[in-house]
Amino acid sequence: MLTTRSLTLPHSDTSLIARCQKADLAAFNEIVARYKGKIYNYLYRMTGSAEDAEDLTQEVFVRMYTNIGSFRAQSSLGTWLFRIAGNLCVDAFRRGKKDRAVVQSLDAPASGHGAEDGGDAQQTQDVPDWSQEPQRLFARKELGAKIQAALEKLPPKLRSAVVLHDVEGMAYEEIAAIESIPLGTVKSRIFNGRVALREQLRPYLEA
Amino acid sequence: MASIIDCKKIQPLLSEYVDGTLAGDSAWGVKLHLSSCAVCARAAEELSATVSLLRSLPREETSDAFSEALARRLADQVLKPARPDLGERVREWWSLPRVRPALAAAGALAALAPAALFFSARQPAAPVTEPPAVASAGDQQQFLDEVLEEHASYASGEPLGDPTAAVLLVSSPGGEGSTARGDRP
Repeated sequence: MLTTRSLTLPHSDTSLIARCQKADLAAFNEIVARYKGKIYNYLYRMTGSAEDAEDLTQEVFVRMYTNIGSFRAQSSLGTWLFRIAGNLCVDAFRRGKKDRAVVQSLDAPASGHGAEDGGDAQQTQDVPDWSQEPQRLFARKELGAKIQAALEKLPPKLRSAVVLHDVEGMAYEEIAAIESIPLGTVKSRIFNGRVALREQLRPYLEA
Repeated sequence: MASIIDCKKIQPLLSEYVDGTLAGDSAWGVKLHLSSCAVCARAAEELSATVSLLRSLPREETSDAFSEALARRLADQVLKPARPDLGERVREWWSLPRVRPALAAAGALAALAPAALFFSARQPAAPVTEPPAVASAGDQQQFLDEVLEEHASYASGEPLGDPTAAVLLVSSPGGEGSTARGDRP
């Protein structure tokens, strides 16, 4: 039998926005709790820095609170927040603080068409050995660092599209709304980004 | 066997194909091509593996201090009004009602000051005059006596022409036949 306690439903984004527009800090905190993980993860993958990602994530929510009065629900709250995050990223990259070169270069230089050439044998030596459990854990961490380094080599526009689609799991249409670009542009950015990553990560694709 | 032209058409579709978002006919065409083209089939497998790698990335979490830092930032930047910059402060000061008349008066004085200095330099220096001393009653009486004596002295030469002279002569302290000045030669 259902009780009233079990029927407690989470507030919808719409009601939270309405309350937030009346300076309801509890509603603001609920929005933060709901979206901070997604926004932070996106910004971390974009910047490659936990400190920068946290700083930008805070700024996203400060901007949201500041501009919540002008939010007209023409897009979803999530779309709006990711758009703010993307714009902050662009600003940060323009300032030149975040758009530094790859912090941790890949061991294997990208050969472009390396599958058939002689460089393939050299690249496969960098694939970690996952046969033993501690090493496997370390290897997974190392692999994560390699993937992150490969992401940071992408141009920001391609990186954003790939992260939103393949890391955050967003549909093409959502990304088009966030980036304010046509659907075809989203698809081509994802395709080009994946191809570039494939070349960077080829040694790890075999595993 | 697939042609190179087919491969060029197929390759851009592989990303959507591995996502499973390609529309029916296109998906069927790509699948048919991959079954006969090892190069494109390998490319599709690698793209799919790349996507798998990206999806395997762990989700990063904010630090424990995130909420507190956000609250502090919100309080500093939004809830507490920021100190206006210099331009805003000047505009705010200028809009005060007492400022503009005072500044206008000061400006007018500043504009007139050179002219005033110019004209004052051309004027001759005014003679320094001592303020008139307040005459006492004794001084007034002495002055009056002197005037009367002078008048009596002058009129004594022509007593007929001046009827008052006789009176003065009579009333003068010097007595009859003497002049008002008495001891004058």
